[in-house]
Amino acid sequence: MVTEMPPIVRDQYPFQAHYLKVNGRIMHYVDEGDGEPILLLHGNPTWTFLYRKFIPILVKAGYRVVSPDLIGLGRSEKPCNDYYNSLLHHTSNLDQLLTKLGLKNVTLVMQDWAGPIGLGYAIRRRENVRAMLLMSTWAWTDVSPFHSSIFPWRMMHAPVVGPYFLQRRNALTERGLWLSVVNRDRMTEEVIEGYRFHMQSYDERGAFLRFPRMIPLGEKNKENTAYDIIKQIEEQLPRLDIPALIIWGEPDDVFPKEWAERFYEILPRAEKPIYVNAKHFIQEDEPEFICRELIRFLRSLKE
Amino acid sequence: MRWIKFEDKLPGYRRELVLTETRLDHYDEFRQFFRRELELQPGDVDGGNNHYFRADSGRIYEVVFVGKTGRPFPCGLEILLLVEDIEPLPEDDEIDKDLWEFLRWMIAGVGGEWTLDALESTGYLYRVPFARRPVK
Repeated sequence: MVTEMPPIVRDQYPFQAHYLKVNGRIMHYVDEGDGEPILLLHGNPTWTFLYRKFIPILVKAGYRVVSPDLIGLGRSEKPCNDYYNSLLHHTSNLDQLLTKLGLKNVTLVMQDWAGPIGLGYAIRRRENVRAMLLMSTWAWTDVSPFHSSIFPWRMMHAPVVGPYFLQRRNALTERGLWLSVVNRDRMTEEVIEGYRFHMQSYDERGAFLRFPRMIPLGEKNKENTAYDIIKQIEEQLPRLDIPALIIWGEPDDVFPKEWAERFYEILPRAEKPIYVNAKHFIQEDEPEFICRELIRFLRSLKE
Repeated sequence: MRWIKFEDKLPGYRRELVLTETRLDHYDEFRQFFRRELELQPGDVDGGNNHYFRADSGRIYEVVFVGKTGRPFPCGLEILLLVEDIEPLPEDDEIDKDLWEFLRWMIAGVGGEWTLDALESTGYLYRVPFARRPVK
């Protein structure tokens, strides 16, 4: 469904839309500023709106900011089938975007599904990645307590129950975002509308369901998840010698803070994690602080 | 809700798709439940029975089971609301209330770690208006 962006959203997200075709699908992306490229990568159930406060800060600091909407989410094409939405598809789409835009020596900013997608890119295109920022994500096949529990996570995407919660009732947007921030007074109706308006119909919301179903649950149900692909990434992490900044929410209940320490221990060039008072959607809780730290980190790499 | 049978294909009604599940085997116990409960056979995709249920509201739904080569049967299902002639589709919340009954029936039947309490608690947390407040 094509809809004009309402003023309530456009005022928060005043960026020009760009589109290109990746693997036969139309991808929307933001491309603002000049300078070394920073890729802002989102997960589920968000889109580049998640980074609306990052973009002007990083552009002002002299960077080129590129932020794509995953196929199936935001302003990108939303196919009504299961076949476009695998981890390999999304990683290949990112590779296509960077290739078509001619972007070199990029900094990857990753949260949620952007972690496995971006890290999957980094292990294949090591020479093209200058630095990484990891926030509330993962890249291993064992499962967080949140993702292994029936209530609420596995129930919410179980067969038949999943389409009900995630597509008919739009539960992640209408409630999940609010549940997964610390500063809930910032999640105003205007902000929720920003996340909601590109995903208005049942058919448009298919990706909301498909992403949760890809999350590995350890050895259990591995053939129905992205287990094998994430296992490949996990095995490569100790050799991924890319400078890495890790910023994590102390009270993050989706990906626990111990997983920030785990990235720090595995990645050979990671800085000690920085903890903030944030939950899973850390970009909503601490955008200014994260941008400041990212700029500091990137400048430190030049010294 | 209760399952009902019709002798004919219900002419005069149009079918409105209200829910699609393409991966009934994501947790295979759900697929096995439908297969067992409704005595489904792979051959049903070639002219098997129609399956209808009536919600407490009186609205009638057809559940269509989907088969694909290379996948265990049924690999998916579609829930279709039968709407008479050119009458309008009810409001989303009315349909959601009917479907909540269907989910309760299904979860009670799948059983094991999939409990009605977990369904109701998830519904309550995510503000499904028909979900019961969990018992502390």
